Amino acid sequence: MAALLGTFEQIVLLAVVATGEEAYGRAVLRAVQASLEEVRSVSAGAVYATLDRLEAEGLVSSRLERGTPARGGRARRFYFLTTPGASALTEARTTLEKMWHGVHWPVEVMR
Amino acid sequence: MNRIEPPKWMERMLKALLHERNRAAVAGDLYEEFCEVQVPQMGVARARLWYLGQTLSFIPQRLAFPLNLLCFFTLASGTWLGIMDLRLRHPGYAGRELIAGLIVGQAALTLAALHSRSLGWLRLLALAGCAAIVWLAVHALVNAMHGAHLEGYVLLIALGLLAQAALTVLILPGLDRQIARRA
Repeated sequence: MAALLGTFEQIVLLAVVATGEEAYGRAVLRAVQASLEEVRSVSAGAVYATLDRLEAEGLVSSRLERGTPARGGRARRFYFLTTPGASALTEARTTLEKMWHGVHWPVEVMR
Repeated sequence: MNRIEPPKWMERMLKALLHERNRAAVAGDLYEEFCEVQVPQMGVARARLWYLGQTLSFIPQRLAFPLNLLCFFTLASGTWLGIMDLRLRHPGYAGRELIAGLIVGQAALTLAALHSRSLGWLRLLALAGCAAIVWLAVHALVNAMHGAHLEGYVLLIALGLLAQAALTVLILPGLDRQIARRA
């Protein structure tokens, strides 16, 4: 059985899915930062390192495209969810849903 | 009107920290964010600080590999020193065993802090240990300079310890537990 995704990896993968056709680095970074802004600050280094790792593991793929004038001509890298990436996200969600089933919300400390 | 761009030296530093594969794309992403969001919302000075912060956030991933190598080097050196002193048992060898133990312990601690998910206390311990290995390295270097003959291996290990401490201080505070490897 493949290892489960970490929380941050799930967030980055979901940001790739949520930004759809526009999932280039900056859009993914903004989506991740927006989702976590009330919890913690997220650096660009953390997001790009995670994207690199997810790509190395085959969970996302990427394509480099030409830059726009708004970026001073610098290239853009677009990210796409792969089939193994979709399976990993599904597995992570299914596992969590199973574990949450029957747990009262909000969680209370047992004394 | 001229567009306010990130300072050139910061962009050069960013590119130096990035692997070639990501250089243009990441620099472009941060350029776009700087010009379109950070400067209009926060002003030039704070936008530059933001850019610098994002640039520095790439240090851990760039320097983690050299730090791993250095830790393995000092771990092996400390083990070798400990074994040699234990075999030779020259006067004062017990003290040198402690030193070897400190070198091995700090290398193992730093590796654990780099690779563990529960970084909090390990990270603090590893950072505190840097002071000890810096003191040890400086002490060894001073002794080596004033000694009758220069011992190359002492110089090498001391420089390795100094480099290990410098990289640890640069990397560990920025290591994010959220980017830890998959369970």
